[in-house]
Amino acid sequence: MPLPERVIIDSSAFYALLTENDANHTLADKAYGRLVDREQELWTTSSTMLTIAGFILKRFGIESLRVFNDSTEGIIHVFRVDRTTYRNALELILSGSLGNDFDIEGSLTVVAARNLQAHVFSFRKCFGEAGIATWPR
Amino acid sequence: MSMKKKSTKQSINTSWIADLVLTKYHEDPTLFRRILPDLAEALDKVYPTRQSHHTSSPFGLTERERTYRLSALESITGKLKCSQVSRQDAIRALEHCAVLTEDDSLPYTIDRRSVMRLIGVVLGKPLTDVTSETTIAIPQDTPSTVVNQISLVRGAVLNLTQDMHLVSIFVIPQKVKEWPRAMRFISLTRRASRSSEDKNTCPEGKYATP
Repeated sequence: MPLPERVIIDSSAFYALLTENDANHTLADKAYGRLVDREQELWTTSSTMLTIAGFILKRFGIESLRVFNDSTEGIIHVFRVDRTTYRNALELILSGSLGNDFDIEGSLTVVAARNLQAHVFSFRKCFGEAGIATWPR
Repeated sequence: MSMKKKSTKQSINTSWIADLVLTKYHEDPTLFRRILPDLAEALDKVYPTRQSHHTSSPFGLTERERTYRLSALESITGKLKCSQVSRQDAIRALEHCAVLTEDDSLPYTIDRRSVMRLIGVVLGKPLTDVTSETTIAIPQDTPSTVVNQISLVRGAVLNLTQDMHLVSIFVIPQKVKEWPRAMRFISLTRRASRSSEDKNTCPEGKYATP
């Protein structure tokens, strides 16, 4: 399959990158390195960014949060979750069209991915099961 | 001191606005192009991957093509350990890498270091030693037009013909330096996790593959 033009990073990919003993850590590391090398447009939602910032702050401290911020600045674009995006994500959950494994953050990622026509960099199987193109394949 | 703070604040604001503009551009490119054609054109220049043309099938390579490319590539990268790769071989290898990358089938066994070395052979010096923006042209038998642009290593863009022959390599040293910065948060948190006594897995461990 041809290379996706844009990729939106889900929280599961961030957790895999930030957790050395995660089963997907090595693959996430290599895959993310490739995405950066390919200079593809990398995105994440503001909701995921806040969740990950909270995770880093709690687990590693403020210095690591600074490093994360500097490291991703200009590399990962942030898709702002506005009222419409939130409403659309909520409707997706309530309609049951995404299945039971989606939380609101995952649903927001789906809405953003559809708007940006992006593949989702994720290790959550539910994206694929919901018909969302995921990466790495 | 206050100047520095102001500068940082401005940088954050700029990034936020750029992301917002880019989001709107992707949401409805036709409308965006109609209302702000100059800005749409500028965005196309900043994100050159949007201009690359998929010359191969939209379904990607056939299994036979993929196997051939990979086997040819591995036979060249295998020689890298003995430093026996000629410039011509390195050019062919980079073309194979570009085709497999475009097809999203370049295996992780072809690592970044190997690709960096191949580029170094073509450039005549390590990529990290390039200090200013440079275009290295590859001698062609016939005049060639650049149709595809693929970045295998950040900061080194391969300019290729329609049938994926390498025409030149454009190196942007500032971009080359961005890769270690982009990867820094992974290695730092890895170091922090080693020093930490907290050996718990992440709270969202449910996302990890068992």
